Amino acid sequence: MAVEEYNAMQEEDEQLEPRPDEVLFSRAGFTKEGKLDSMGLVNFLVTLDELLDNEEETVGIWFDISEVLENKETALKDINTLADYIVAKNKKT
Amino acid sequence: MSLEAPRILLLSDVNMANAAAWLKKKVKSCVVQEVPFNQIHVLLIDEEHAIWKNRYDILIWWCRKEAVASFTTEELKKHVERISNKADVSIWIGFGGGTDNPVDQFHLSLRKRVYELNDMLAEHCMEQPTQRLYVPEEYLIGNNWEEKISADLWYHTKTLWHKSVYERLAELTQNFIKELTGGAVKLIVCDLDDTLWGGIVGDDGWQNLHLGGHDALGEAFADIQMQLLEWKRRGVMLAIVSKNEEETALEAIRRHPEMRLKEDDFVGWKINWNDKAENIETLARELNIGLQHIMFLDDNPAERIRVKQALPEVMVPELPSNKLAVPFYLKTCLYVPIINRISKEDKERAVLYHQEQARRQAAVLHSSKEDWIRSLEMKVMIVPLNEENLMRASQLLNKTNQMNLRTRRMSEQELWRWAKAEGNLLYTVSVEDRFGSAGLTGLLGLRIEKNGLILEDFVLSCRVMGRQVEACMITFALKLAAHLNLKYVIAEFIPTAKNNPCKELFSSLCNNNQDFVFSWEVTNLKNYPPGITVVEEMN
Repeated sequence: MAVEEYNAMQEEDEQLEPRPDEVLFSRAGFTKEGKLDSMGLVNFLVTLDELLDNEEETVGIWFDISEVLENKETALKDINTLADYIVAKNKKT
Repeated sequence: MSLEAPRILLLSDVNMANAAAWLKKKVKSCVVQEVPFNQIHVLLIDEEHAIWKNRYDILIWWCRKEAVASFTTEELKKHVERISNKADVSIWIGFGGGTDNPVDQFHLSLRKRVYELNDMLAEHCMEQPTQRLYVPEEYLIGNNWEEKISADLWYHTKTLWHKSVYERLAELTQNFIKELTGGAVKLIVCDLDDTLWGGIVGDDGWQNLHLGGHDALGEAFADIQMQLLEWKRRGVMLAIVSKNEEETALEAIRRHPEMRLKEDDFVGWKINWNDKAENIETLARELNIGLQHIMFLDDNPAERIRVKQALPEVMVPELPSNKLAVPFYLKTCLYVPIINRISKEDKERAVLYHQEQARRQAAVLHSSKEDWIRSLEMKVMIVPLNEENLMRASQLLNKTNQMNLRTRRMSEQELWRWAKAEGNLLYTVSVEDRFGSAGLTGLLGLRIEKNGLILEDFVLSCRVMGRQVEACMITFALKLAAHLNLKYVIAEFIPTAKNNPCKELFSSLCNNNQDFVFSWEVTNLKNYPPGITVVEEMN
């Protein structure tokens, strides 16, 4: 859902694929090109944050955008790692 | 100016990348130029900056008051005037009344400054149809501004507002373009139960509807009706499509003492149990209006979805489920033209449609088409383009699809420039008959080339199609060619998805045609069709 909502604002060639291994941003040493620049990354995280807040089944699940950005090498490898990061974070708290 | 693929300059002191993204999504084929964060002051004082070397179709200004704090209002006014000359159309987003800094709300001198700045912008836009001021609280942000600020976006990217605000900015721009190019809403089709009044008239009876009176819901519905009346005053037509028994619904409209809208306020209605999308289509056909000019108001989400799916060209706003919020929603609805920039013909449209109904009834009484044409006592006036008829001419050029030879689209300024260029001639065609005036309904654009006249524009409103006005226009072009000592008139048809009727017409009027090129020799000049008086002015 977050991908869908994020894509609404983007032109076709800048849209994310809604699949777990979709690479979010480009990093040195990584072969695949990510589609998000720093602005896109924040937009995507804000969208996800809002959806987690608003959806009944995800109320109570939270993450800190600044913290995710600080840990982007691990948390933002792809959509899957982001999901894992958020789940792990919520288990700890 | 090209509002079909506009070049947009986005002036702001904050990051407007999200606004640019939405503009690219909503405004077809636009190119957006942004300015760097926090640079607006420098850009304004540097008149030689590269950004001012270009010309833009649309300028959008949205700056915080802090960004212009060092200018006096008079100084900023000069900058506003100067930069507005860099674009054909300008959209000015007013300064926030404290919304961009909560502390300011209690600081009276700052609030006074905001009023002064907005007053200056309002004065700049006054009486200028291509300059528009939008108050951010009314059109973009709403009153709960704190919900529209995203702290994460601000501190990480210097983007001030939530993306929904920028989406609305893009919609606002898109609708202003429509308004300027004659594409705005011209007909509002309303449901009745729980849309124009509270309750179900068939179940509750008209006496028990919520409408007016000392009742929160009743007051809200009265306000909705007042808003519709205001739109009607601006020249927009109103119609009804409702699932009801016609007599029951009309009785409520006629007898309920708190009805603001009267039967006469509606140009037509389809009150029955048929599919609403089909009813809207029939109404559009009868009223001779394109679906893209229709807005449909219905409280029922299922009906809205049905109409959206069946008639994607129709605008269907998502009305708030809270009925008390609907009047506020409609007040700032972007689909309806904000300023009364509607031509004389548009304002009289309802009258024109009633006349057309009378004409159709007259046609039934006459056995042949010739007899019917004679009985109409038609008068066709063909005169050169002038400043008075320029707005309507441009509207007609930009919205006519069917009877349009080459489907050229031009703004008022472009059309004027083209008409005044050497060797070019542009005539408007107005039609009236014994039932009334159909107004300016045709355009003839001609270009002198060698020994002939080339038809650049042959445009005719479907309002008068099939009444021999077409033949009058071609005859006039031939008479004009003879008057200029030229030998022929040539028309090259450019096909589109919608202008086949024009090709069929030219095929019927011209024996000499090859592929899409039609030509007439001046030596074959005939008289105007019988029974029609043509008043022509060639120079």
